[in-house]
Amino acid sequence: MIHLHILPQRLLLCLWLLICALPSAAQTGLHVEPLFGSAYGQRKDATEVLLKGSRLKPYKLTLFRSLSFVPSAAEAKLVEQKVLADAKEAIDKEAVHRQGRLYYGFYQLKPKDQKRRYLIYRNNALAAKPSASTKGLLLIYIEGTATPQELQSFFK
Amino acid sequence: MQHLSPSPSPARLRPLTVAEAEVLAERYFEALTSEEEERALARFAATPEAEAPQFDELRAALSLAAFARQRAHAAPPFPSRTAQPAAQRISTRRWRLGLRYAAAAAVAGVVMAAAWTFPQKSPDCVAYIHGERTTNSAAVEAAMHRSLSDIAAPLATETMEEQMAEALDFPLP
Repeated sequence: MIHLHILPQRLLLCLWLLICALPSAAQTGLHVEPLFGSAYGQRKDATEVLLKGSRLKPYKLTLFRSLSFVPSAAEAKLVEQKVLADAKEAIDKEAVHRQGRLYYGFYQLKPKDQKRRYLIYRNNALAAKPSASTKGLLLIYIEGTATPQELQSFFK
Repeated sequence: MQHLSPSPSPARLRPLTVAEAEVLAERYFEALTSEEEERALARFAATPEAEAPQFDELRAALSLAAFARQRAHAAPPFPSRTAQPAAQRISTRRWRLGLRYAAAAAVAGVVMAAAWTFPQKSPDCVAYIHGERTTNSAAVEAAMHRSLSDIAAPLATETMEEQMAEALDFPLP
C-alpha cells in the first residue's frame, strides 16, 4: 500500500541528502583538507592563504592554499601523519627526514579533474638550529596545470 | 482497506485508533470517505494522538476545509460521497492532492535555492595573517609568495654529529 501522506516527507528527505552531498563534492578528499580553514590559520602566529581563479592564471594554477603556524609537538605530529597519509598515494615524491621525522616533502598527487595536484610540507622545527622566526610548520596545497618544473620556478 | 459502518451507533462513536486514522486519512485525500468517516476523522484530529507527524497534512486539510465552509456559510459540514457528483469528487481529490504536493514543492524550492546560493559565498581570495583576515588581493598574493619562498628556502644541512646520531640511532645530548 502506498502511503501518500509520507511520500512528500520521503521526497524532502532525499532532497536534503542530495543538498548535503553538494558541498562535499567540491572537497579534495585529502587527509590534510580539514587543516585548511581550521582554527590553526587564525592564530596570532599563523598565516593562511586561499587563492583561486583568474589571479592564479599567470602561474598556470587554479587553487593555492597554504598554512603556516607554530605547532605544539602533538599538533606537528598530527599534521605530519596527515601529510604522510596523503603522500602514500603520490605519483612523485621528494622527501627529507630528520630525527626520524618528516622535515621536508614535495609530493605530486594523483590528478583530479585533469588537474595536477601538489602537496608541499616543511617542518622547520627539525632544522639543525631552528630560530624563533623559522621554527614554524608550512603546508601548501596546489592545483593547476603547471608542471613540477614550472612550479619550482615560482618558488624563486 | 477497512471501511467503517455507515450506520451511526454507539460503537462507532469510539475514538479511532492511530492505525484506523491513517487508513481513513489516506481515503480522505482520495475523496473516498463517507460523511460519518470524515466526522470520525475530525474527532480524531482533536485528540493528542493526531499530533503525530503523519497527521500534519490531515489536520491542515481539515482546518482549511472548516475555514472554507465558514467563509461559504452555505456548504454542508461534510458533503457525503453519495451526494457529490463524480466530477466534484475528482475535483476535490485533485485539490487535496495538489495542496499537499504544492506545500512540499514550495519547501523543496526554498531549500534548493539556499543550497545553490551557499557555494557562491566562498571567497576566492582571502588570507589570515597573524589572526587578521584580509581580502585585499595584493596582500593575499604577497602572502602567497612569502609562503612559497619560506617553503623553498634552503634546507638546513645536518651537522656531522646529527648524521652520526641518526645513523647509530643515538640521541643527541
